[in-house]
Amino acid sequence: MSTPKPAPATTPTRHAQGPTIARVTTSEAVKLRTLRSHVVLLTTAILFLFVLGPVQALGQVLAPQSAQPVPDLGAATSVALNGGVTAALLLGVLGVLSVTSEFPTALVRTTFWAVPKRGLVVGGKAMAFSRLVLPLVLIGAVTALEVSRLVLARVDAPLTWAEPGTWWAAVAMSLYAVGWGLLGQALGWILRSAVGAAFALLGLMFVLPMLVGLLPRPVSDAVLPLLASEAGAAMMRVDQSGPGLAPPFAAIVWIGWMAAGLVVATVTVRRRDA
Amino acid sequence: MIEIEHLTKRFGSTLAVDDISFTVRPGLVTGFLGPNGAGKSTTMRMVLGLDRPTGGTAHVNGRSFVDLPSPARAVGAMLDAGQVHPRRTAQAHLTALAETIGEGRVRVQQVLDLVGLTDQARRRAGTFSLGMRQRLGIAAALIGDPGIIVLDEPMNGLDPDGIIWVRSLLRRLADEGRTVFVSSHLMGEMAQTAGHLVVVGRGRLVADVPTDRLLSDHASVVRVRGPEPTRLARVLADAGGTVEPAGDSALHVTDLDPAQIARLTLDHRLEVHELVTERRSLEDAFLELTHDATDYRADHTTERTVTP
Ligand SMILES: Nc1ncnc2c1ncn2[C@@H]1O[C@H](COP(=O)(O)OP(=O)(O)OP(=O)(O)O)[C@@H](O)[C@H]1O
Ligand SMILES: [Mg+2]
Repeated sequence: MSTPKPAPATTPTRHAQGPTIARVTTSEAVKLRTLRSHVVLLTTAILFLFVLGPVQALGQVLAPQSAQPVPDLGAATSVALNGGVTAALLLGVLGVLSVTSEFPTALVRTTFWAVPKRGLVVGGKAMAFSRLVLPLVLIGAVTALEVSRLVLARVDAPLTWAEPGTWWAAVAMSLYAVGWGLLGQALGWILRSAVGAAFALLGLMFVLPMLVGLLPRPVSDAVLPLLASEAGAAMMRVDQSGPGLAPPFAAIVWIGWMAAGLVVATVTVRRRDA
Repeated sequence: MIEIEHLTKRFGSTLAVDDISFTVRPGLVTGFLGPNGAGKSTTMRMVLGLDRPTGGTAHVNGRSFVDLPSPARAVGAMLDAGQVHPRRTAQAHLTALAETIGEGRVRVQQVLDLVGLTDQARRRAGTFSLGMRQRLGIAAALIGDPGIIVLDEPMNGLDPDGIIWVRSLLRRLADEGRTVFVSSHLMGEMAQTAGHLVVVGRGRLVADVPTDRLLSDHASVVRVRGPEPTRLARVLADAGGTVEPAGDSALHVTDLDPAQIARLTLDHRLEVHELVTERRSLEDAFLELTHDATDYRADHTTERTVTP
């Protein structure tokens, strides 16, 4: 039988040593890179991003008669960033898994024990994801554009770093791909199931715009550009003309969707039993 | 110090925890006992702010867990041992936890050494045996060197060596002045580990006593048999005994010793054919405490009523 003893000399209060957003972000970054499946998904996404574009550019050069012409910068960047949508999809799945992998084993309880302020966990996961993925996608996009530029020079396509639109294409592509991941995280927190969240993400990006398109004309015209899918696509346009929102406004709407998703996730997670 | 007051939790139609109040004090191991489904894990989750109580409060060092400035440094916790991603290594799991409180490699190494997992640190948790997973869970709980330790069934599935290891670790932590709160559904195991026992059954508190007292109160029972069991039962009950029918017109009596019973039967001119003391196992005592827990009000839980 253990003999009762008085409490130890008061342990110094260690106020400064609790969880902060910076610490939680570091912790979540450790989690993100220490699961092999996550690393494989991320690598695959980046590979798609910088391989598919240059491959299509090569097609333009080798078989110019069967390829679409690349008359302007917009057409050229969309050839170069051809792998972006696939990469974004994979990163959306990575976002989902980075959250839902905590649920089957109730690891999330250990997480919420260590960090009881659950908003910090939602925020830390989003920060860790963005901090890891954004630079990689940016490098991937710039590489894809540069390699495509070198290849397309053979057919005199108008792709050049002298145009600000080329830089915008790289930045918008990165925002787009990271945004898929963050929306995936938000849906993961809300739905807690990998399959459910992945389907919800596909529904949000592919099915919702079709459903809204079925609404009467004035309504659908007003609503459609504000959907995540349409704002995301509009954001990546290089030229200022064309349908939908102008790219800077589209970028704001796109970021608004991510912020809204993470706020709803935080509110949901805080209200629930873990 | 953990203070639980009128804590209640309802899941739909299930009342998992029903108006429980008790205090867990520093410097000794407090065992939290109850059969499956008694509400132990739910109570612990509420202490850790994971589940929201339907009513009542659970305070740690005077405030609720989520309001502590550095929660994992105040309270270490292991809820079921499975709460690790099976494809992450022990080292990675502990590192992620350590980072939340600004600790790193050094602290991770210390807790790995403490639980004896140093050589397994780079293995995936999914390949661990149950005993190793329990050790990993305990390592995680101790990462912040907490003054209060809450462990849900840390001895579950351990072999005798493992049980002895956990037991001595818990005692050592308590001897260092920490508050140690450990659940189990095995009375025998807890009786050897804990200095104080809190027993629950079907969500209600049935006992909150020092282990010694619980053991002496329930260690033995006197078996009495005579031709007039009903009168015998009434006489013994009136004298303060707890009487239960034991079949074959025999009675099981607690709270009276054989000498008192013999004197009572003599005084009341009752014929007795058998009067023996039977030793009872700890598990019998536990069953007696928790069975029909719902028949007892939480506020007079430790007093048994007479049931002739
Ligand atoms: N999340 C939940 N949703 C619904 N019911 C629950 C939930 N968690 C626990 N319960 C119910 O609450 C009751 C108490 O369960 P709890 O897990 O707290 O018991 P326990 O004492 O820990 O049991 P065990 O010894 O089996 O671990 C049980 O009836 C259980 O089915
Ligand atoms: Mg339990």
